Amino acid sequence: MVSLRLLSLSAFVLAAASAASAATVTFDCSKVPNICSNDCYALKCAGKPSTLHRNSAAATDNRNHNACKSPNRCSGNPDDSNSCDEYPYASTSEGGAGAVTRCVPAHENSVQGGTLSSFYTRSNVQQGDAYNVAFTGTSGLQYCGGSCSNSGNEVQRRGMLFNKRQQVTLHAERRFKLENGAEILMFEPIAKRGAFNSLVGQTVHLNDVDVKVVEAL
Amino acid sequence: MAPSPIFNLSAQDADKILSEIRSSGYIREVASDVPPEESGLWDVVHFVPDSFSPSAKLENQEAIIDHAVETLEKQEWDSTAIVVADERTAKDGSLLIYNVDSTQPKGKRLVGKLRAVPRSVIEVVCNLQVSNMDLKEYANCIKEGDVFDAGS
Repeated sequence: MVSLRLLSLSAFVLAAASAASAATVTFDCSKVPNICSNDCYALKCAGKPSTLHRNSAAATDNRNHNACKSPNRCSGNPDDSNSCDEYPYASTSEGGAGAVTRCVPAHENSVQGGTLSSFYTRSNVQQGDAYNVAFTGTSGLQYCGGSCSNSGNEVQRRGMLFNKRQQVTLHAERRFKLENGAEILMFEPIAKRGAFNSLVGQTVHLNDVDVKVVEAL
Repeated sequence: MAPSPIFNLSAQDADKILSEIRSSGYIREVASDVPPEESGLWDVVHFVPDSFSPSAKLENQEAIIDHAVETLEKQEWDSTAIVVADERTAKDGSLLIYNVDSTQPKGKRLVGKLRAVPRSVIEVVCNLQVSNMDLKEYANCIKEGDVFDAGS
């Protein structure tokens, strides 16, 4: 029993260290509000992981295994919902079947892709590397605060209940202050409470700049 | 991210085309707090050296795709998206973008293609590289003609 507890503790410490030492991409929700809403729903309401692992090799296959597969359900929609967004992202090991999807404006989705691409390059996130996801400017956004009641715009493909990607992680909302005065929202796994505390003193990627986290709120 | 290749089949002025590609307002929109050349998007596409040479035998679509997948990928290029400056580029400035699935067998790798104005190439290519959007989604945004232009 003692050994099992030690193993569990070791696993927790390693996971916590992994999350804290990983780079963090921060989405500016003033630019991509619909994307942020989808991501918040996926994290807060559907229990998708907040620490992802880059897997570009699986990206095409991942996108082909969820509701964003081309041609997707958003095709032909008006401009405010003509592109398919997914979380976890297709370019991660956690993406693919079971990803939460939402029809969003194409331009927003396009900006998000650029943010992710730029983050991979600027933060030197290589294949297999872990990274965290954070948000700023979430005030008033659907699902980033308040209710998880799905107003019908969030879709998750069913029938994959035993897929490991379908594991649900319960999160607690964590807020941090940056040295530029901005506040970021992150979703910390309840099972790893405190894992993000060590982000204080580290930097997060925001609008292509590394900004220091100065305080946990 | 490894760069996606641009094939300059018509031996057009590579510096001029690259300059037009990098003039994209998209870079400033995504990376608003750093100079564009320091953003992670500046080098999303690079010209393939000597790709206009007739000896390269890259005169058709399949040959270009096969060359990118079988040769360039080993040299750390990303062949998910391939850009081609062709004869039409000399006429209207638009560039041809191929979306490629390199895991497929020879002859079945082309997923789709789209023409775009140079300033919209980085936007499309970086989204293809991370499989965030597909070419059909960009094509659906074209209001007139067959060339994608996200604006300045």
